[in-house]
Amino acid sequence: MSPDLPDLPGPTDPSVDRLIRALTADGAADELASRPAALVMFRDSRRRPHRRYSLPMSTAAAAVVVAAGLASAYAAVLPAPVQHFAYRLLAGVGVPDAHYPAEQPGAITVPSTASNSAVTASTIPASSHPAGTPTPNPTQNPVPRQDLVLASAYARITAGGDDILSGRLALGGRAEPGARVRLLEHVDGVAGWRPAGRAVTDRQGDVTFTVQHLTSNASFRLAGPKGATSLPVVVTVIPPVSLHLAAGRKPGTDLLTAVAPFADPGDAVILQKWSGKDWRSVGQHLLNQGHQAYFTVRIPASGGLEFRVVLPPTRRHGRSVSGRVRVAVRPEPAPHPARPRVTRTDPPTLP
Amino acid sequence: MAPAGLGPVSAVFTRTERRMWEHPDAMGTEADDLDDALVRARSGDETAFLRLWEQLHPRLLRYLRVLGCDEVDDVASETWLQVVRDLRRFKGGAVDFRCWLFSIGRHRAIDASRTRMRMRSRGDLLTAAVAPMAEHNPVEHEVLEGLSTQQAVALVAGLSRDQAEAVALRIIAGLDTTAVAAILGKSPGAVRIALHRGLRVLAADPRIQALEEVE
Repeated sequence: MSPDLPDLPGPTDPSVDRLIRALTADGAADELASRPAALVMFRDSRRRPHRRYSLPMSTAAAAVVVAAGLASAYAAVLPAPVQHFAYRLLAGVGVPDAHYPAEQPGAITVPSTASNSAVTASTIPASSHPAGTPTPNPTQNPVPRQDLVLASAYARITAGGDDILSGRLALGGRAEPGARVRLLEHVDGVAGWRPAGRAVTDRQGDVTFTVQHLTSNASFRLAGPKGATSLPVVVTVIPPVSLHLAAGRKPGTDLLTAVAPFADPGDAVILQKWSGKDWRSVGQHLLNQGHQAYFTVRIPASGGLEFRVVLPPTRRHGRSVSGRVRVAVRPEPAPHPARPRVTRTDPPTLP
Repeated sequence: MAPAGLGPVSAVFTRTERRMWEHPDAMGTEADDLDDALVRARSGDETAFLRLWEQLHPRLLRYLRVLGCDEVDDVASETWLQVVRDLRRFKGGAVDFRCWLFSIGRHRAIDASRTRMRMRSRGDLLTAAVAPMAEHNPVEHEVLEGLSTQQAVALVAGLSRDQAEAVALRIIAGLDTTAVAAILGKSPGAVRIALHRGLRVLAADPRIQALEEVE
């Protein structure tokens, strides 16, 4: 007998067996209803890698990057350690470093396309430089050499969640331990960058920041000594949105309430109905000051309808989708079984 | 051929007087299938991922319901979001994946619960319209209609927290005691005791007893 064996009431207890069968039954239709959404989520995750240091490049793309990096390193006029370190850091994002001019202190040039975040970095090698020789003319497309790099653990997080930002400082190709670096934050909708934290690099020149309770999209970058700055990293916040069902005021209607606590009042919420094949938008309202939006729907005469709400992306947050809610005729509450009426009788009185 | 779920395991439970807990290999076929699906899903195979999802998502929903999660679909979505995000870096087989999935689900459920509490305490969130509670089904109705998964989950959810989680992770999630203990942060012995007591309570439940009488 296995030591893991609990002492069940009986080895052939059909009722418990039935309970176990019910608990482990195949998924019902309603349980599998979000299958399309799961597939979209999976596809999205394959398209958008979230770790800068673990970019899932195809073999061909990786070969392109390696070839480009090596060609760049061999042909460059920079000192070998610089090339080596730059290559090591930037190979992951496919940006060759050796042909770029020396960084101008304090001058930060953020490329307008693709390379300003962990989300988009992986698209550079294949799309920007299909020929595999990405040697842009510095005068036309200046990209600063990156002595300071920053990466986020997660490019998309649930609102209120935490993210981890990892940075590395290597001035002139050598790791800089004990250097002070500042984390700067830019919140969408708010002008400028503001200090969000500071730290001292460790022996490998690394620093790690944990950003807590993010409730809106934000960009981060590091600023270090000698004007070293990192490219910005964008973190997209996904605010949860839920849909609740209640009886409507009018007969034959239900009230659907969308609640998105981390979205902003005035944000649009789209109500969608499941057609059997796909989701169709059937209404739109704006969130009120309580972060809620209301939809009144008619209860179908027979069967049921399934609804969900979608919170479209804004500058402050990413797209979010609620779970689905089924609107159907609810059975009338069953009358309580007639209970024997207890009547109090006066005690008999003796004549 | 083992169908999805633990059907054959239940059959073993009844026919040979051995229970699923005595058969650590009883889930072998399913685990093998999931192992294969996991490997292919990690390399980007959508069909394989959907197979994983179809096998485990219903169980995840039931587990979250047992936990008393208010927004089961949302929490499950967040759980899968984290799973697909980190799938490339996941190392292990189907058993480890199952343990990982339910562990994430548990954490997300706890997070959701805390968030809800914060919201309520701050008064930021207006009282949301709450879905009406399902009408209570009398015993007779359950007997006539048979025990649905929903009702079974409700029965498990009616146990004490420790017992419910032990039963849910052991039976619904299909994890072994060691994995359950690791998730709950308890000793395997404590998990076994909770599981044992939970199942005994369930077996003594009048609704379960009524089912037996119908048989």
